[in-house]
Amino acid sequence: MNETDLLHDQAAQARRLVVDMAASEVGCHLGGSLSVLDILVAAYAVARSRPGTEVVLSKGHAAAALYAVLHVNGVIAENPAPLYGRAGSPYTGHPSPKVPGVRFPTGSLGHGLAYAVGWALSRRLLGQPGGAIAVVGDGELQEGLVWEALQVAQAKRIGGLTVVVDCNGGQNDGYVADISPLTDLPARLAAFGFEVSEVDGHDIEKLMMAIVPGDQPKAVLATTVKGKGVPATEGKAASHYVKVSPARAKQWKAAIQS
Amino acid sequence: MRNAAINELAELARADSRIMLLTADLGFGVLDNFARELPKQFVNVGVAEQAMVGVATGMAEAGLLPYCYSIATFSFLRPFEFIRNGPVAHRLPVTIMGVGAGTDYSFDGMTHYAIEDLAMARSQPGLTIYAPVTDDDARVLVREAGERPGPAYIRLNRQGSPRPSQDIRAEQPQQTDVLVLALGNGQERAHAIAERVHDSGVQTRVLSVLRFDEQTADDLAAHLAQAKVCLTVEDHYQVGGLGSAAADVIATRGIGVRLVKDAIAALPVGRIGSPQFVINKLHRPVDDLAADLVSRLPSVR
Repeated sequence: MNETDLLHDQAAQARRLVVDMAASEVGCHLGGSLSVLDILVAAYAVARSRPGTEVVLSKGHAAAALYAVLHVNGVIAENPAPLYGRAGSPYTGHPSPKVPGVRFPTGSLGHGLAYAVGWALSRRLLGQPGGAIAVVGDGELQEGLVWEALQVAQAKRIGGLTVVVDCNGGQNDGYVADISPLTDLPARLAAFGFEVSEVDGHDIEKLMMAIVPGDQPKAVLATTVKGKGVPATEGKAASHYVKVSPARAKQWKAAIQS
Repeated sequence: MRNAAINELAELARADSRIMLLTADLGFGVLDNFARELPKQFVNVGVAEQAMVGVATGMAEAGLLPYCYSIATFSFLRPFEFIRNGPVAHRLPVTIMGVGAGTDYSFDGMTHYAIEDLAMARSQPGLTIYAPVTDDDARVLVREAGERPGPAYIRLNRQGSPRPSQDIRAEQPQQTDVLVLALGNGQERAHAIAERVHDSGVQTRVLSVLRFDEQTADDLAAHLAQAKVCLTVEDHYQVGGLGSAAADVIATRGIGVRLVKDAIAALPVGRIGSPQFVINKLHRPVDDLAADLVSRLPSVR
């Protein structure tokens, strides 16, 4: 299996695990987990070949995708899906540093990008290689802190930093375009000194090319679909938080293509 | 409980067009009816809690009566400085509604636990704090917050307690061996402990503290003076919450009662789970507490 096939296979495996977590006692943020999943697969593939590069999932409510991708990457040895939501398990609805591979607690939106900027700046200050890949939601960009962190990145000319925006168009109470639209987003990010690219957020190869950190901070606007990969949930606002029966989960998993 | 609170607010808002309900994008399923029925009195500012409180401050200054709704960590903790410099400093009628008091959002992890909100809120002069126990309490207190001038913080749970609360302000002080004071959803645990204590033949009384305002110290003093031992039960850190409020009163007024605090001492990180699992992990076992209380009575029976 070549690397591309391997990554597609990883994504399909991880999607099935996310569906398993939606079938847990507590359900999961399925829509946003499936929209961000290919971004995480690509981000970890990039980070693997660049020592000292940290991936920070700032949209912490997509924890199910993070646990699944960390597992298929071998970072979480045990299968987290059967433990998700179980009493006494570290696999909570938002990730904490008790989970292998997670350094920063996220779940309060907007925090992760600042952590990533701090990490990337520290690598430079410590004279060590590496940087950070921060994954944020599009709705999350409504948080002022995101823009403060972008400002710090610009002011400190932080290289080795990529911000990937999971542009799935949804947020908790509806659509980003209705609630607080992100007008001229590419131009806004460019004005903060970021090299901006726009890619299909489900094309892992293109994502990898776009994500590789450079000397200048990068922003990747990844267009995605909520619930991607499970036809019954694709593009549906109701896929934001899903608890599904085991029987239906089985059907959904069977429909996932690698 | 959150639905009861929002339904009550909707009723107030129908009669008073100055009432505005703001959310930072966490109203799905809870605020939908309000937004549909009263669209001119509803604003979703997006995922922007600090802006929500800033906007509410501007609205209040302009003569409106804004209510800010989100999960408690996001509506109260995150924009705290905005609450302090806006509604508190200028005595403006802004009401912050925080859902998920304590570890209510158990499975969501510590980013969603409001376990220091009372400590922060109690520090603010003129900020009235409401801590309903039941759905009925929530209705009454939302109405009360609306009638009172100045800023308020209402800490809500997702579900109200099924057992009616005994409000410390409404109940007459009575002599008792062990007085158990509960905050919010701590009431159920308070009753479980009190029952164990009662089993040892010791007289107990369980009351809830529903309001923290300028009268609360007097409320506490009147009841504490009638007890030999007091236990405070709260799903909150042990510093700054109900236990601290009782300790302040005991020390500053020289009341001869021993205080035991049932509160959260450690960081709530790591292995967690259902609400009950989290409570059990973060608090002392009920039997231990009951035995401790009995052993502290001046003369063990």
